[in-house]
Amino acid sequence: MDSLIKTDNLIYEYTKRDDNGEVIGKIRAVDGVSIDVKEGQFIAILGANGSGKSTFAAHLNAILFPTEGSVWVDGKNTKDPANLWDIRETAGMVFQNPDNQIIGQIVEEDVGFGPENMGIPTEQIWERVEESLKAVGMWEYREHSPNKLSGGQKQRVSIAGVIAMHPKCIVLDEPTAMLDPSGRWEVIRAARALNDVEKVTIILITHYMDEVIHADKVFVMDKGKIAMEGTPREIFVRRDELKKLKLDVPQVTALAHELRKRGVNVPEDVLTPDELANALDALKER
Amino acid sequence: MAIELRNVNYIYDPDSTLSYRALEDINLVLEDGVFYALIGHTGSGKSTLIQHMNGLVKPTSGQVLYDGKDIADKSMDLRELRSNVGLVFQYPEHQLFETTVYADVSFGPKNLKLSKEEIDIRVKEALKLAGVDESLWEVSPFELSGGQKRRVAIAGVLAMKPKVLILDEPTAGLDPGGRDEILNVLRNLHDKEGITILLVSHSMEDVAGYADRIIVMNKGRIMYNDVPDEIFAHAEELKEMGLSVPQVTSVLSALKNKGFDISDNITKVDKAADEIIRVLGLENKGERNE
Repeated sequence: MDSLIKTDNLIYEYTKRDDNGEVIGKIRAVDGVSIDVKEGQFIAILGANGSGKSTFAAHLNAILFPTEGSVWVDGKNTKDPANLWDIRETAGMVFQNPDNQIIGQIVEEDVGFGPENMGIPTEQIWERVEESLKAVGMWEYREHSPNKLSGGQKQRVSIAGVIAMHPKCIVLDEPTAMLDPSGRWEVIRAARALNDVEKVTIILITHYMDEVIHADKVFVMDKGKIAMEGTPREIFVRRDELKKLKLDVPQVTALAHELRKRGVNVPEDVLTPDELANALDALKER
Repeated sequence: MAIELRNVNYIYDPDSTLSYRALEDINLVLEDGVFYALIGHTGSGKSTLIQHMNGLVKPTSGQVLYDGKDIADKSMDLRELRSNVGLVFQYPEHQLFETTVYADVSFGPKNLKLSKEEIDIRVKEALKLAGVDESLWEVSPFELSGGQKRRVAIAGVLAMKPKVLILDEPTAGLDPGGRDEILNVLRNLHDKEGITILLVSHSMEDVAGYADRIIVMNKGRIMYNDVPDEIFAHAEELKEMGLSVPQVTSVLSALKNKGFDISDNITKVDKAADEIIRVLGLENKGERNE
């Protein structure tokens, strides 16, 4: 598999100033991150507030540029200004608050805005709008006003707006933080479907442990560095380390942990309620 | 009782074509000293409901009573009501504006025209209750982490000495560590200070873990008002309302479906483990007898 996103010792620093504009210090928000994301992967990034994950993500479509080190998106270095538009077409971003990302008066207009800006012929814009809205299950809402949609629906329109630009990769920065359970589920399901069916590479940044269980790989950030990396199962058995980093495990994994502590022989790396129920059922049969 | 809503209806833009009924026939009593949670999908009427409780919104019909007194009554002192019923909005840290944490929290009590000494006592007490470390009191609120900022905002409301504290999704956007800090502050306010809490949340695990009672809203109506274990026994109905059940409850339901004689109205990790061990123990004994 080819690398789609690669960072090499990425460091990002910003200068802190006091009220009078005097420099009072430097903050290193990202501190030597090297990752390699292959085409078609579903990657999750976990980390406490202030761990540097959003700052890191902003480098992946050239919103921010490294102080030291490099970022390559589909082989193109973000440092070269000539690559800027290619990079932004390759890696699309979806942010936390859907209300800040939707500009159209009607859903289909909003989704068509990106491809229109790219100079795509009108005929093809409508094709792209249709396929994108269908991919996130919002086609039947194409003539609605975005204002009347629920949070989960708005986020799916935001995602459709990004897909319409045919990116190879979508970076979602806490897309579900403001949503109710069904809204969260809708957004995660849409992201997983794009990954499974369309082979779009997904980078999901989140605080919800149960949203990352289907990821191919999880990175945990702390103080600007990668503190842990592995599959969800490998990560969630390291419960004490996660707690130290102000994170947690899914509640069902915590239950498996508690049962093991009390001598019940279930696997420690269960990730879903069904898995744990099956393991307990197997114990009974033995 | 602290707050009572009697036959409350609320209609947005009642005389226009966009007229929309946000609350329908709400009858609700919030008792003193209880930790309530309010759940419901986006647009179910939660925010409209809580804004009725301190008089920010007036019902189209029906009554809201605080301490037995109609808050629409002319003799009602709304300023006092809003001190007694503190409302913490979503993302309250966006409302921080002073140069130091201490100054920000003292803004409310200053408006009450209290003496300097009284303000000082209240501010310090509120900051301590909200778990804001003393080393941060003279720092600019904008230097703090997300969880710290939010606790400063909560301290600002606590400095008004509320008897009821209503919080609209106080943990949204926080990491699990910051979430637990806020929820533990609320538990402490409830357990030690006897403050009535109403927590609006989208996290089923959180409300199951902390609340004494859960109120479920759907389409402007109250569907359930009960203890957590009873609420989450309605798994199917909750899913239809765009809500869910805690993961441990799903494990127990799945076991029940597999024929285990197990209770599935349990919502906490410890109790779920107790129940699973009880059932497995019985099953094992049964096998030995055969």
